[in-house]
Amino acid sequence: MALDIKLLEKLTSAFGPSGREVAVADLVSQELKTMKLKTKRDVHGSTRVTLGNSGKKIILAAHLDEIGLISTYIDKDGFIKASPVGFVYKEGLFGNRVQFENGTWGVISSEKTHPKPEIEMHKFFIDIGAKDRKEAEKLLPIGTFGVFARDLVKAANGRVISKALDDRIGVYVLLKVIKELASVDLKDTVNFVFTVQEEFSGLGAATSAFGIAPHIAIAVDVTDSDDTRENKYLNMRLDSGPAIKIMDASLISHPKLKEHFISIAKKNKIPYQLEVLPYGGTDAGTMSLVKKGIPSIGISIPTRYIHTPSEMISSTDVENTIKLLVAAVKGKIGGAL
Amino acid sequence: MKFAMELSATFGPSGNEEPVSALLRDELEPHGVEFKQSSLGSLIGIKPGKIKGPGIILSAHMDEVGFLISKINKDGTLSFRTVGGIDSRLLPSKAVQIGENRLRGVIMSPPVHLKRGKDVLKVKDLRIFIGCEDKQSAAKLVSLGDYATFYTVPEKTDNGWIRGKAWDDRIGCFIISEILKKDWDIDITGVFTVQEEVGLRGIQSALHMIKGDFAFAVEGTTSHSSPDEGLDNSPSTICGNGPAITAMDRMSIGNSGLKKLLEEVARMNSIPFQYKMTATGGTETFYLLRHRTGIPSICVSVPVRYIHAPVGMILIKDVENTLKLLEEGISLLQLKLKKLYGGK
Repeated sequence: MALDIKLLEKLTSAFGPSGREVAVADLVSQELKTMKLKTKRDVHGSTRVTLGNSGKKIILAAHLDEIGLISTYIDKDGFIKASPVGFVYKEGLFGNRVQFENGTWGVISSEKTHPKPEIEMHKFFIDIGAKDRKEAEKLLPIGTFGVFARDLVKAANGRVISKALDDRIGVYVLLKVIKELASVDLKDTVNFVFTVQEEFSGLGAATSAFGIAPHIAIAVDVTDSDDTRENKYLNMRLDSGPAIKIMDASLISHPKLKEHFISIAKKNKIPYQLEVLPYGGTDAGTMSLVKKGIPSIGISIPTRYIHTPSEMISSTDVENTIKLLVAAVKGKIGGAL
Repeated sequence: MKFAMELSATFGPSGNEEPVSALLRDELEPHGVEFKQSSLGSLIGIKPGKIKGPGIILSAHMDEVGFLISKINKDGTLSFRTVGGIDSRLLPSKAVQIGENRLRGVIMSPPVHLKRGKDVLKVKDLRIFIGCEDKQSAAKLVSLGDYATFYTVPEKTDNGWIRGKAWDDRIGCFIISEILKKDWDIDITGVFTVQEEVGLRGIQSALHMIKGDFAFAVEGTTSHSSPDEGLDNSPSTICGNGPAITAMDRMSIGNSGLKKLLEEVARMNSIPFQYKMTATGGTETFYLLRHRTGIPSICVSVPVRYIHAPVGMILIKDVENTLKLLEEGISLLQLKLKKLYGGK
């Protein structure tokens, strides 16, 4: 099962910073419509489809949103100040192109003083080509959301570089899992939830989990692949398979779920790795705290250069993540506890 | 604006909002508002509409920033802690009122010939002077743990401003009260919360007692203090430019549908408005948005010059325009909700 580059490219190029995920949600709904599946959308835009209607209630979540920027101020010369939406590496801002929700484009820069100014968010501005404040106000009202635009490209060894692989690759994985399972008789009620605002506040995961009140929640997201030249701090590597999350800063995965996924990987001879991330968090952490508490786990796709406009994944990891999730859902996740 | 000024003058630091709550009850009871109270003290006032349904939630916090008396010193002065965020540069030589008897005091400030060259004093080094010269006499008037606030008599200027303390968020309480006094087709729930300034606490429990299809947090927000021309950094909001709509702050992203609705309503009714030009701070919007399965919510604010300070200034026309924007927004939502509820 090769990577469906066409679908992934559609997903990653879609505009969808936290709070403005409609275009990505529409893509998901369209894609599921081709499988004759109807999606539901909640008040905040989280989109879901349910397969099966027996056994335990499961959530499999991936988030629609990506990191971005919001315009906050226009100076008298028409340059834009902005605040990050989600965690943005300020070191990587210089020279990036920003695509705004209203179609305006701009480039991020800072004054070229010598010595170079310290890298601080407030020293960056966005140039949208406007000549003065009045013109800029028309082109870009305050409070307009933007994303770091960058095309998807293929690299060597089945690796892919693109913006927003966090978490469109998770969205892609869920779409493929749904396709494999759409005609299978499932032993659980599996809610595939495409959440909003994971990068910002976890809003979509919180409200969706409240509404569904599942027995088990699983978030499919990216994790840092720490395998560049100097970095050997973390365990995760590209091409070593899906990472079964043991913990991050938002969650300690339910131990029985962890054991369950390890045993499924072993039984089906799917390569896997274990993830211990001393920082960060995903929708799994948010969902674990909803209502009376929900046993939760993260299944992560190892990714290099997360939260930059050029994140890198390996297609074999994606394939193996799909295999692992398909095997898990077919095998009754509800029995894991 | 008389009631707004009464609200401003009322004593109500976080954790001691009862006087504000009582004032709101007295004002709104004759207008058919039905009350509930959360165990933490948040006041919930529901104006029943003709058509039953969850309706619209409006939230404002009753509490203001203030002080807690932490020590009575040998020399009769009082040490204190701040309640909520107060810039210590603002404090020396400001009038305060303390405890149930509203005992007046002044935060001490060394005379200028002793102060020259000194750094800004930290809160722990500041004292309140209440006219007592020894511990014994001070202890008769004040107890440890007494609350204090700035002492400021609100007044109107001749050119459309009101001076006063605690506009954050008594002005929100005022605007919601004005809305609750009117009759609506759907239920309007006003939530007057406690302990917002110390970590958005009151709203979290109050929300469990109410329902809503849409929600607005009504706030007083930071504004720049001088004309903005030539500025390189954001003034946050500008007094006189109308209600500020928050697209995003540090904790929440305003619902995009409600943002559009307010923009539309403002244009249709020629109401001036502005967007908040910073993405910092947090409001009750965060908890409104994520309550249960989620409530579409957004924050609308009145710009306040000198917020969290002894005297703040607001423009009456900004208050009027904020009220108008919210009322027109509610009218439009009301039409949508009437269809949704299937009412006559």
